[in-house]
Formats: sequence, C-alpha cells, structure tokens
Amino acid sequence: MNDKVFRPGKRLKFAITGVVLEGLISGCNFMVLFKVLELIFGENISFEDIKRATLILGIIFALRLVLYAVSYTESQIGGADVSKGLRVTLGDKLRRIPLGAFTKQRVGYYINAATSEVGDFEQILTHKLADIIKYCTLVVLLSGYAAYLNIYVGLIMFASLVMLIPAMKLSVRQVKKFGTAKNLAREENVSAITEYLTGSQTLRSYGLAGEKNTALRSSMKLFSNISYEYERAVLPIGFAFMFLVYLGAAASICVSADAMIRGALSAPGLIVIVMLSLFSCKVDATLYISMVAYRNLLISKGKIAGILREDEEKEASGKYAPERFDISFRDVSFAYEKGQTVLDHVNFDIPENKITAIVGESGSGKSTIFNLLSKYYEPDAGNILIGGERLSETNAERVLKDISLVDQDVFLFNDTIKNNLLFAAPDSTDEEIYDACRKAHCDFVERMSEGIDTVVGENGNKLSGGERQRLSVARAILRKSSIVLLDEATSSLDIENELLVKKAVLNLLKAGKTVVMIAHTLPIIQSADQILVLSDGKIAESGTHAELMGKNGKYAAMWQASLQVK
Amino acid sequence: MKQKKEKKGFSLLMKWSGKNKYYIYISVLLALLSSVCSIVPYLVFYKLIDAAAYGNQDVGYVVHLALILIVFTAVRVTCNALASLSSHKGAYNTLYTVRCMVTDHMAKMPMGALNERSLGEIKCVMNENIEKLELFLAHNLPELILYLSGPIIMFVWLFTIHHKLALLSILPLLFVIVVMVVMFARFFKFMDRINAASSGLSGTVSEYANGMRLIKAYNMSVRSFRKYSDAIEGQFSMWSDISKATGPLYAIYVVLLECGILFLVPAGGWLFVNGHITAGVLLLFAFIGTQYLTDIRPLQELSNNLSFALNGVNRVKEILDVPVFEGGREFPKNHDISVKNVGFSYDGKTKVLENVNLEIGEGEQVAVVGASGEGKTTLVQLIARFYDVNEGCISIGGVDVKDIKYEELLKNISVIFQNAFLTRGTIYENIAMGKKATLDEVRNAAKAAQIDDFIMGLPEGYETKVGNFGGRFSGGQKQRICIARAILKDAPILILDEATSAADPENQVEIDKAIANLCKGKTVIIVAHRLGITTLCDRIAVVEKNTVTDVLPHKELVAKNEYFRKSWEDYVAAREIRYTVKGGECCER
Repeated sequence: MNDKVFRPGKRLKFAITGVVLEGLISGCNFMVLFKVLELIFGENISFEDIKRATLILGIIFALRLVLYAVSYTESQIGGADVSKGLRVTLGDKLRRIPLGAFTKQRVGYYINAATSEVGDFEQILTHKLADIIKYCTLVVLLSGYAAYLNIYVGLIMFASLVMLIPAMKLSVRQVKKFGTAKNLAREENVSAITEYLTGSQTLRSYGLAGEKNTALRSSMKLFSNISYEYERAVLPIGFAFMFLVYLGAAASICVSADAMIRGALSAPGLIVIVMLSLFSCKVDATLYISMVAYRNLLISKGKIAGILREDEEKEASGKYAPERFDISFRDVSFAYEKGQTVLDHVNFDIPENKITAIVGESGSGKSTIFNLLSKYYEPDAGNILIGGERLSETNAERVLKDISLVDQDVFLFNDTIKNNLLFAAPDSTDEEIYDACRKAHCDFVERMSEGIDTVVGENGNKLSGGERQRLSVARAILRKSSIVLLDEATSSLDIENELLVKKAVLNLLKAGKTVVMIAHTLPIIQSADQILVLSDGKIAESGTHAELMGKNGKYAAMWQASLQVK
Repeated sequence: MKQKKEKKGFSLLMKWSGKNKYYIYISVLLALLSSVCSIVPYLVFYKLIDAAAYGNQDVGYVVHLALILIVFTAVRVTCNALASLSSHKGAYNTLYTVRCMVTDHMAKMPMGALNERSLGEIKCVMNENIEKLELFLAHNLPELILYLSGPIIMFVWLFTIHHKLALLSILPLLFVIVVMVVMFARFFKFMDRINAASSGLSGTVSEYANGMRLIKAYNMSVRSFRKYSDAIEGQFSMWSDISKATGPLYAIYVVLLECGILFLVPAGGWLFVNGHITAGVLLLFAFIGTQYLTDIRPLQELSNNLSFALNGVNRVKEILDVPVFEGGREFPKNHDISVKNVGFSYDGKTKVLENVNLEIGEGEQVAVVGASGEGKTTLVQLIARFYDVNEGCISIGGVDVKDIKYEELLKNISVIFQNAFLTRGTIYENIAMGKKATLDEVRNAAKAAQIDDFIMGLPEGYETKVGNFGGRFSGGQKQRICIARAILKDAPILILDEATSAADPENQVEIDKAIANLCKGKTVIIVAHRLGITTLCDRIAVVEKNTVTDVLPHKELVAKNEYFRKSWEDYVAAREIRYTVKGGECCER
C-alpha cells in the first residue's frame, strides 16, 4: 500500500506552515509587552512609548489576521483535497477487490469508509495537525526563552511538554485495556437492541417485551456500567497531567522568586517568567486534548488503510478467449471459511446450448457453483473451464462478459429504465429495448407515463419485486450472452407475478444459449437436458429426469416428496 | 400526565433521567466551582506584579502565592475531574433509563406501530440519537458552563479592579458577533448545495459499491468510476467554494477575539502614565484582559452538538408519544371471529378497506387471497388489533377486540409472518419463549413441527445457541422452530402468512406438515400466496377493490369469482411450465 495518499498535499503543507507561523507571531506580543514592562520598571515610560508599542502590536495583529485568514482557508481547501484523493483512491481500489468481498455487510463498511471515515480523517489534517505542531513549537520556543532568563524554569517548562509522552502512553494503554471491553459491550448492546426490535412483534405476543425482557435490560445496563468504567479509567490521566503541569508552574514561581532575591533575575524578568509558565500550562492542557482527539481520529485512518491493503484480484496475463461455451468443473474444491468445505473435489460437465439444472438441499452449495463460475471467488483447488479455457487465466470482468445472471438479487441503477437496459447492451435501439421489455413481460413499462425514460429510483425502489425481476430478465434477453445463469427463486413473488416471471424466462431461454439453473422446485426442470444433484459438497447423481428416476436414488426420493406439495 | 404542563428539550431530558439528574446538577455545580478557581493563577500573577513593582522582596510571600496556586489548581483539577466523572455517571445512567423507557413503551404500543419502517426509526433512535445524548450530558453541558462562566467570572473580577478597562476588554465581542452573523448568513446560502452534494455523494458511493458486481459484469468500471469521481470532484469543489466564502471570516473571528490588546495597551498605558492606575493593573489588563475571551471560542462548535441533542430528545419523545392500548376484559371463551362493516385507512385519507364483512366460526380454517396491495394483510392484522378499525367492529366470541386486554389478546392469537424471528439464545429457549416448559414438552412441539430430528442432530442438541439471527440455519429450519414455538404456545386463534412456507422450497413437505400440525383444532386465518393451500381450507375470502367480495369453498369460488378463477388458472399454468432450451413446453395460453 502507498501511504502517500494520507499525506497532506503541497497546498495543505503551505497552509499548516502558515498556521504555525501565525502562532509564533502571536508570541511576539509577549516581546512587545516585555519591552513595555522593562520601561515601566525603568520608570521612564512616556505615552510616546505606549503609542509606539501599540503601533507594533497593531502591525503584528494585521499580519496575523492576513496570515491566518489565508492559511486557514487554504487548510480547509487542502484538507478537502486530501479527502478527494482518498476517496478516489478508495474507489479505484474497490474496482480491484475480488467480487466475493462485496457482501451486503462488507459493502456497508466500504461505503462508510469512503464517506464518513474519510471525513473524520480530514479533521485530523485540517484541525488537529496544525494545532499540535503550532503548540509544540510554541512551548519549545518559550521554554528556550525562559531558559535564557533562568535555566531551571526553562527546564521545567520543557519537562512539562515532554511529560505529554508518558501521559499519552498511559492513556493509550488504558484505552486499549478498557476500550476493548467497552467496544464488546457496545456491540453486544447493539445486537441485543437489534434483536429486540427485529423480534418485537414476536416477543410481544410471548409476553417477553419491556421490563420482562431481562436479557435486553441486563445488556443495556452492562453497556452503561462499562462505559462509565471506561471513563473512570481514562479521565483521571488528563487531570493528573494538568495538575503536574501547574505544579511545575508553581515551582517555577518559587525558583524565579529566589533568583530575583539573589539578584540573578530582574523584576520584569520574574513577571515574564511567571507569565510564560502560566501561558505554557494552558497550552500544554490544550495539547493534551488535541492529541487525544488526534489519536481517536487515527482509528479512521486505520480503517481506510485496512481497505487499501486488502488483497486484489490477481492480474491475469493468460489468454482467455473461449469460442465454445460448454463448462467444466475439474476437481474443484472450495470453502468460504477454512475447514467448512462447501464443494469437495467436484467434477461435472455442462454441455453448450443446453439446459443444466442443479438441485439439492438448501445450503448444499448450489449458489457457490454460480459464485465460482462468475469468478466472485477463486476455487481453493481444481480448475473451472469455459470452452476449454481456464477461468484462472483471466479476470472476473472478462469472464462476466459472456455471462448473464438472473436471480432474486436485482440491482438497478438510479437511472431510466432505458439506461438500465442499455448498460447490458449499449448498441441497442429503442425498438430493441421495447421488444426486450415485451418478451420479458414488462408490460408495466408501457403503462408508465414516460415509458422507458422513467427513472427507477435508488436501486429501483419505485418498482415492485416482480417488476424488478422481469426487468432483469429483459436485460439478459437484450444482452444475448452465451451463458445464462438462472436462479429460479419465486419465494418473494406474489400470485400475479409468478406466471409472468416464468413466461419471461421462457422467452429468455428461446435464444438457445448455455443455461445453468438452480432449481428449488423440481417439476419445472423435468425436461432439462441434464440435472446435477448436489449433496454434501459432491455431485451425488446426474442425468435426465428419466435417467435419475430410473436410478431410484436421491433425486427420485426428492421427486416423490415434491408430489405431496399442494 | 396530561395535567402537567408539557416539558420540552432539556427539562424533558432531565425529567426522564429521574434521580440521575442530580449527577448532572452536581457536575454543573463542580464545573462552576472550577471556573471560579480558574482565575486564581491570574490573581497570583497580579499579586506577583504588584509585589515586584513595589519592591516586595519577601520570599515567604512568593512561596505563599505559589502555594495558593498549587492548592487552587488542585481544587480546580479535582473539581473538573469529579464534574466529568459525575456527568458521565449521570449521562450513562440516563442513557440506560431512556433506552428502558423506549423499550417499555414499545411493549405497550399497538402491534401495528411496530412495523418495519417505524422499527428502523426506533433502531436509529436507540443506537444513535440516544448515544449522542451522552456527548451532550457528559461533555457539552459541563463544557458549556465552563466556557461561559469562566469569561464571565473573569470579567466580574476585572470589573472590580477597573470598570472602564474591563468594559473595554469585552469590546471585541461586538466585532466578533458581527463577523459571526455575516459568516452564518454566507454559510446558509450554501445549505441547499450542501444537502444536495452530500446526498449525491453518499448515493453515488453507495451505488458504486453496491453495484460493483453488475458494473464488472457490464464492463462499466471505467465509466462508473468516472461517475464516482465526478461526484467526489463535485463535493470537493463545493467545499472549496464554501471555504473561500466562509474560511477567511472564521479566521477573522478567531483572531479578532484577541483584538482587545489594541485598545487596552494604549488606554491602560495612558491611565498609567497619568498616574491613574498602578503598573499591576496595566499589566493585568495587557496580558490577561486580552486573552480571556478566547475561552469562548469552542462555544461555536457546541451549538451544533446542542441541536443534535435536542433533535435526539424530540425523536425519543415522538416514540413515547405513540398512544398505547390499556385496560379491558379477559379473553372470551368462544372464538368465533366477526368482522362487521369494517373500514380502515392508515393515513386517514386513502381507504385501504371499506365495508368489510367476514364471519369465521370457531375451529374453521379460512384462507384470504387477493392481489398485492389490496389489503389482505391489513385485514388479518386488524383482527389481531395491530391497528384500530376506523369504522365498524371486529369481535371475538362476541366481544369487541377493543374491549379485550391487549396483552391477553396477543397471548391468545398466534401470528406467524414471513420473517422467522429467532433470538440469540438456545433452541430450547427459542421454542419455550419464556414459558416454563419441560424438555419433553419442547421436544414434542418440535416433533410436531418436523424439526426435532434436525435439532437432535446438532452437537449440542436443544442447548445449541442460535447466535446472531440464526445465520446458521436455513430459512425453512428457522421457520419450523417458530412453528414449534407456536405449537407450544397453543393459542386458540392462528394467523398465518403463507409466504412463510416459500422461504425454503427444498423443504416444502416438512413445512407443510408442520403447519398442518399447528393448525389442528384451531381457528385459522391464512394469508395465501401459494394458491394450492386454499384447497385445504374450509373457505376462501377474496379481498379485492378494498373489500371482501366472496367467502366460499374452493370449488364454488372458482365458479363464481372472476379474480380467483383467473388466479387459479395462472397458478396451475405456472406450475405446469417445464423449461427447455427451445423456450419451454406446454401451457402458453
């Protein structure tokens, strides 16, 4: 991974320099006041001197005003610029992450990283970084100046600053120790609340709602208690640090008073030293707070960096240009998680331009075959071939070029119906689009006031489930790809949509391509050219309906059972 | 509750927090005390100047001052720490109390108020809005007191030392307010753009990530990436425009807060030169009178958090304001269900149901069919009093459901809907669901639900933890555990959404058996999606045109009702389709 994207750009560096410089110039106010002080104690001050001092203060003020206005604005723009760079880098990275990673939960994490986490990281750069540099420099310079007046005071001031390091270390340790418990309690609390809400109707009807639900109560109470314990463990560190810093200031006062009496320090010197000590106490306290915030925001950086470090899809160099579209699984094994084998040395052939159906218990790995064929995941062992060419020789994009997937999970872009179909086949004419809609029984399109120019809303939320499904069939019809993967799940469909979707699919099949379908009910595949029966990660049986019935094995049993379904 | 004047915002929050508010009050008090102590370093400084200026060379006096500094700093830091701990204690307890209030109120709400949309909102309130209250109660509130009281106390002290110079020292506030007003005015001009751009950004990012599989399949990654980067470029150019318009103003605000030095030095100097004030006073105002206002700088950020907190309080209040059903009679012995002239609308405008009449005898099994959106789910929900009817009356055993104790009503009606809900507890707990049942009783229910074999096959059997949302089980297995639960509950009335059974078509046979066992001897209403099931019911009610048109046995209904006849034919046709590579066989009519 390249760390460069996190670094401030030229503009931001310039801005940070400006902010730091402004802070240092503001320190010059003290020098002017010190001069005034000396004049007062010299007892020969006139109003002319005061006027001159005011003029210099005015110049300093004007300088600060201009410098800060310019650099603050620049730092805002520079920060936004870094955010932009990070978001673009993240977007580019997402294109290269294997498609298997794009599960619902993970996608939410990616979206959150590209939006709010990047925003939080920007905060570090625009607000915290400049402050921390500015204040550190200021305290170092002031302690140098104080050391020039009295070495001990200078050392005390510098020591106070250095004390930040153990204070932060201690705080990090406590955060780690108690933060983990707090995070666990928070996650548990969120799960418990989610569970309670998801099941609220059920829990109600079993009399397990409200105070009767002790599980929820105790989880909420635990989270509340642990959150407090966390604060109790972390808060005192900051206050102890503050107290020590002021103790240092008190020591400085005593040391410099002693020096004055010994004649080693002038009266104005004493006043300036006290002044500087008190001022640096305030700055140290601010620094501590800024650094705690800085550390918290670094969590965002960690999350973003984590995504940028994720494995990428292998760059494939081999030639992959199938001319036939039969499919072969050769000794293919796969597990989503180590030790939980889903496919176990599976072998089968799917002939070109025929229908092959895959059946099996739920969870037997039917959709895993689709996931591997689409190259969402790589098999752990074995080879998958299309037209005799290995999928491992190329990338997902190339493989998917020849594949149309029709399943329950229809994704629509927030665009017009026409564009949503055009993505699948960019060269289609309006006539072809209307034709595909008719074949896919998307009669609702013509009923819409704007026809195919109607916008479907975010992920097609203006359409019903059945309508979205038929649109996805229309897409596949238009696309004319050589392989069709069909997951025939009608569970989410209502009465009026079931027949329409099935008729739409019939028209899709008419193109006579290589079709692989996952069947959840058996009658519909009775006439399929080949049926693969999946069981325990292996192909238990294969053949046509008649052949399988003749074997009187697993398939025959499933068929018998299905006859009982009304 | 109604007699009292309705409280709002902060005072409402304090009322909710109960006795925890004292933690908050104590923290505010301690913050005030710490504010008072915070002037001590300056006082020490002032005394030191005076001592130095008048040649007081007593080391004892200086040590005395240093001790005062240490003691008061100790007091201040302790006050701050205690304030912070106290406010956190109060805040976390309050969060817990408010969360309990919400969940308790949910336990009394009409079931209809617990629909998917409102649950989504409640979830957001429970996890996010309420959590934000912590920031307000534990941090912002004491900070607000500190930032406000610190400068005020400082001003009062300075005022006692020299009226005119003290007044001069707050002059910067005037300029600053003007700058702020201009800044906010400019910022608000961008509001529309900010809203549009941020929803545009999140929409585009979300589409880009969610649609990645399709984007790759359609070879659109270059184009989609361009759309994505355009949205990000748009966001950037908006922020740089905003920065250009408001950035300098904010910077001016920050620096201007310190402009007091420009009047205090000449004014104080003139007074000193002319012998009106001592050197100590001059230096006090020159050094400190010009700095103390900067403490109010964070207030500008606090205002944001304050509005978040108020918004959170309002959203909690919205939930707590949902009316609840209270009181009523015991559940009647007879379980005839009668729906008479019922009309219902969710929003008071669009009628969902109108003039519905339906009589269901005890022990009868009735299917409800109809096109989606015609109100068949609403109808069965009204029977379980998810909502109150607007017109007409629904009664069970002759008693209006509104007159039955709500808890009793819910206990006596089993409702099984599409999404099978399992808690994270053990399978045993999931089936017993709070009922004191022996393992045998639970197992018998599971056997009837065709799931006992599966459970016994698990390594830990009935003690297996379901884990988060039962991710380990298939839809059908979860469904059958829910059915076992309902069998054990043994409520006389059963409302069933049949789409449930489609969750796992591979296990259709088992689910059908489980449902058949569940329905034995009960009064059953089934919302039917798979029309095959209607042939098993005594009668079928057709919901169309916002009312129930026909209630007849299957055969008679096919003959009489046009909608049902067509649906039935479609259903049979769909079942007869056989896919082949040439498009399919049979049944195209």
